[in-house]
Order: sequence, then C-alpha cells, then structure tokens
Amino acid sequence: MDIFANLALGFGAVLEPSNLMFCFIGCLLGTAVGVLPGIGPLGTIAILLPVTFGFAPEASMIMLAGIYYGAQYGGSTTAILINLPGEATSAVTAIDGYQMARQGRAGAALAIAALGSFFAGCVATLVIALFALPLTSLALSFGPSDYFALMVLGVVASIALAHGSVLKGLVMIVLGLLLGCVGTDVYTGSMRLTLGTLDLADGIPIIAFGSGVYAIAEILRGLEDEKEQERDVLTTRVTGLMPTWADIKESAWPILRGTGLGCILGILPGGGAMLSSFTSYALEKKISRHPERFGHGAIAGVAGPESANNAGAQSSFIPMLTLGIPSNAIMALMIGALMLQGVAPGPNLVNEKPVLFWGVIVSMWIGNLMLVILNLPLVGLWVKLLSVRNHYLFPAIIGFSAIGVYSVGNNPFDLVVMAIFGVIGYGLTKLDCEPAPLLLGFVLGPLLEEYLRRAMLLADGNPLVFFQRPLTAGLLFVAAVTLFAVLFPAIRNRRRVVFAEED
Amino acid sequence: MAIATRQHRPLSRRNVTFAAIFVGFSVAVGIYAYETLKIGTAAEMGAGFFPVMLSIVLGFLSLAVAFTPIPQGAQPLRFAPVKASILIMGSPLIFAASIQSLGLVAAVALTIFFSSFASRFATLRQSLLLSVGFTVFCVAVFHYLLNLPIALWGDLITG
Repeated sequence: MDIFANLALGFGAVLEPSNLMFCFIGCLLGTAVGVLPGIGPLGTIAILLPVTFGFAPEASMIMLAGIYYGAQYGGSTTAILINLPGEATSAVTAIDGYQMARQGRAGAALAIAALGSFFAGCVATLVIALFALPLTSLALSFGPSDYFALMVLGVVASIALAHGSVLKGLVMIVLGLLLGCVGTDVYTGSMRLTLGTLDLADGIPIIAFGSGVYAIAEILRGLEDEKEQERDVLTTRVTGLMPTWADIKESAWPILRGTGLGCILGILPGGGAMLSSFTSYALEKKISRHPERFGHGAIAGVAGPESANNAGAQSSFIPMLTLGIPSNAIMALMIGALMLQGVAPGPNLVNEKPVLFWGVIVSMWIGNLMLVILNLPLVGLWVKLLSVRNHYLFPAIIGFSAIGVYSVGNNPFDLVVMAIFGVIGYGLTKLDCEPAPLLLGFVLGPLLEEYLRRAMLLADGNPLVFFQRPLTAGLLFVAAVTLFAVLFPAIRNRRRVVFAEED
Repeated sequence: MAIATRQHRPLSRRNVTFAAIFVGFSVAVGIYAYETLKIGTAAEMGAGFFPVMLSIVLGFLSLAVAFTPIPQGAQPLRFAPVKASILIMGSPLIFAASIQSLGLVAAVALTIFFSSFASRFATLRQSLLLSVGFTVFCVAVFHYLLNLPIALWGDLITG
C-alpha cells in the first residue's frame, strides 16, 4: 500500500503541467541531440545539463531523466537506420536492426525497439519503487568503511566491464579522483591544488569539465578526417511502423528476458545500460532456435538488447538515489547536477525530499510513454536531422556548450577550464584512454575521500578497520578478485600473442 | 621462457609517452600537494593526505603502463588539422573574452563564426548565415525562454 501512496506522490509531482512539459522537452531535446551521430547519452547530457540548471531541483531532474532516455532512444534510431550507433549501448542494436532496415523492415525494428523499451521501462519503474525503500533503510545501517568499500567495488567493476585497457582505465579513475581533490578541503578549509587562483576554490567546475572532454574533444575527432560524406541514410521512407503479429510473438520472450536482465545488471555497480544490452544479445543468440539468423536481421536481436538497455538505464538510478553512489559516468553527471542544485543524494534523500525522489521515479515511466508517442510519429524528422552536415552542426554545439558553461557561475574562467579540458580530453583519446572513468572518478573523489577519512577517524587510524567489518571486507574482497580476474587473463592473452608471433 | 618473452616484447611508443607524461604529472602534483598541504596522521588526515596518496598510486600505475604492449587493433595516430584544432580549442576562449565586455549576442556570434572555419567546407557566406541564425536561436532560448541572467549587450556597448 505504501508503494501506491508513494507512487501517487510521484505522479502528483510529475503530472503538474510545468513538470510534464519539462519531461517532454527533455525527451525531445535528448532525442534530437542523441540522434546526431557520434554523440551518445553521456555527451548529450553534458551538453544539455546547463539548460536544466535554472529550474527547481524536481523539474531539472525530471528533465535530465527525459534527456537521458531520449538520448538513448535517439542512439538506437541511428543504429537501426544508418548503422551508426551513437554509443556503445546501441552497438548491438545496430547489428540486426540495420539489417532489418536494409530489408525494408526499419519500421518494424523501430517500433519493436520502442515498445520493448516501454515495457522494460514500466517494469523497471515498479522494481525501483519496490526496492528503493528497503535499500534505503539498508543503506542507513552502512558505516563509512562500508561506503568506501562499495565505491571501490563500483569503480573496479566499471573498469572491468568497460572495453579497453584495464590498466589505463585505472589510471583514468585515479586521475579523476585527484582532479576531484582540487578546491577547498571540507574538513580543514585549506585550499588544495588550486594553483593559487580563487576561481578554483569551489573545485573544477563539473560542467566545464564535461563539456570540454565530451563536446570539444568529440568535435576535434570529427574534424580529423573531414570529407564530403554522403551518409548511408536510407532514402526510402520509413513505412509500416506497425510490427506484424509474427514480429510481436517472436519478440515477446526476448523483451521479457531483456527486461529481467537489465533490471538486475543495472543495479550492479559499474553495470547499467551497456552491460545489459550486450548480455541480452549474447543470451538471445545462445538460446535462439535459429542462431544463424542473428546478424541477418533477427528481430530478437533488436527486441532483447533494446529492452535490456532501457531497463538497465533505469535501474542504475537505484544506487544513485538510495546510496548516493553513481554506478556509471552518466549517473556521476546526474549526481553532479543534483549537487549543483544543493541536493545531497544519499539514503536521506527519500525522507528529506520525497517529492523529488518519487517524482524522478514516476518521471521515468512518463518519459518512456512520451518516447513511444513522440518517436514513432516523428521518425521522419529524426531521419532528416541525420542528414544535417557536420560542419553546420559543430559550431552550434560549441555555442550551446559555451553559453551553458558560462551560465552556471557567470564566470569567464569556466570557459578557460572548458578549453583546457578539451585539449586534455583530445590528448587522452590519442593515448587510447576513455573519458568515462575519468568523469566517474572526478565525481567519486570527494565522496571516497570523505568516507575514508571518517572511517579512519572512527577507527583511530587503524587500517585494519577495512578487514574487520564483514561487509567492508567482503566488498573489498570481491573488488580485489574482480581486479585480478580482469588483469591476469589480459596478461596471459598478451603473452600468448607474443608467443604466437615468435612462432 | 619468461626471459625470452620479456626480451621480445616490444615497448609501445605510445604507451611509453603515456607513462612519461603521467609519471611527470603525478610527481609534480605529489610534490605540490606535499609542499603546500598538511599531511596529518592516518586518524586525523590533513588536507594533503588523500592527494599525496593518490599521486603516488597514479605514478606507479602510469609507470606500469609503459611496460604493456599496444592493444591490438589500435587506430593509427591521427590528429585534427592544426588550424581546426586552434579554432576549436580557442573558441571557448573567444566566448570568455567577449561575454562580459560585449554581451551574449556578440559573444555567441563571434564564437560560432570563428569556430565554423575549423571545417574545410566553410565559406564566408555560410558562416555568417550560421552565426546570425544560431545567435537568434540562442538568444530566444536562453534569454527569453529560460530567462538566464546574462546581459544581451556588454559593458563596452551599453557604456
């Protein structure tokens, strides 16, 4: 009964006309930017975050959530229509979705993706509503050392599950943690690593950081090899949006399985949309009676991963809302946004700001509904957006980001930070580094330090505290095992490669 | 066998560069933090404890990167053209320099105009059109719709 009362509270907040409008604008903007090739949900949020900044916390979170789902859905649209996934989450959708589009079944693929996502969204919303409160009360019993261990586990898991070099991922995380130290120390009030400037007293501005690393660096990458490209946009109109009965029957189980997988994997630290969609694709291929169809337009290969990534995207809100710990870089940005609003995410959020808490949860459902209503009829518009030339687009992105970065603090210095992090971000991609762990580390830094300090203070400086509490020790143990598991096969494989070359 | 592997494992130039930059950075930050901040004790950590600890960890991790081979399928190193890089990286600075003196309208227009020349396909006419059009859009969205407190015209213009 409690759940219904809580959901009613959330509905009350979201159904306010102004918030409904924010949700709508968020979905629309998110899809519009997410459709642009090369810009995934993370980039979209970084670019659009400042737009939401001027509103009340509820409105801005609802809008951000809308942007997030919109961006993700936009990414799937490009994946299906032009085989250009906006980011890794929709990479698997592109495999079979694009094949379906080439066979003239783009409409069915888009519709199944939308319906699967909507179903997954409904279930995930219920799951969050069910588990949020028990998890919150559990979280209140955590000590500082438990939190510390949980974050370490989250960081390790997020590197382990990402692609690319584990070692470089670790370096990015630690660099992010170090950058998070810049600013005034909360405990002593002394200025840390600010290079003597007052402009950094509040730390490195997160929006300038994000825009630099995502917008500037991505634009530069796009300019590396500029040519008069005729994108392989399907010129035929997308027709036949309604999937056939056979399509629906074939997708029903994959959608159910994808939803289940996504709900579980999204909660895991380091999990979220990407892991869910990859796992779902692998699962569907394995248990399918026609695995040979995968890669040639199997609708299950669109239905499963799309449902899974949406469920995963939503359930990754759980650790953020209940523990205040971001499980991936997108949630890290969301936490950044909340903190800019003066709201501290964590187990107390549900008691202190129940309207915000339940409003965000309900807005997920509303956002999904809007996406179904919005995206299917507007597919034509999104396809048009795809044909906008890059050289009209990037100056607009720069202008938009510049205004956004400036609007947060009305301080021109923030733009200098943006330019510097643009250079750093671009340089890092040249050294095969991913910016996502950097961002995650940056947001986690102050939290990690605070819990470390508190744990050590309580233990009177005895580091054994991390081994004496069973929960702390258990979490750290899992983190260590994960780290070894991913580091050592990598070394072995490399050895094997070296040996193979010698032969 | 192990020795043979080690001898034949080629060091990747990119990874050695990576390590050199990062080790240098962590040593510099570590010393800076150590010199300017109190370390404190394990029980009562000073402001410098965490940064110094992190820079030590960062240094060792980066050093380890030097000894890993380059991942397979790594993209060949390519950079954006020099002109494009300067224009793109400089465009936030143009905005920073003009926003308070000239105001939102001029700052956005200048930023868009200059950054658009980073593309090989930019023409003067297109860039002018783009910057005017986008400035109108931004003023409409940010000034009139979102009510951001950024002055349309700066000190230099209003006097």
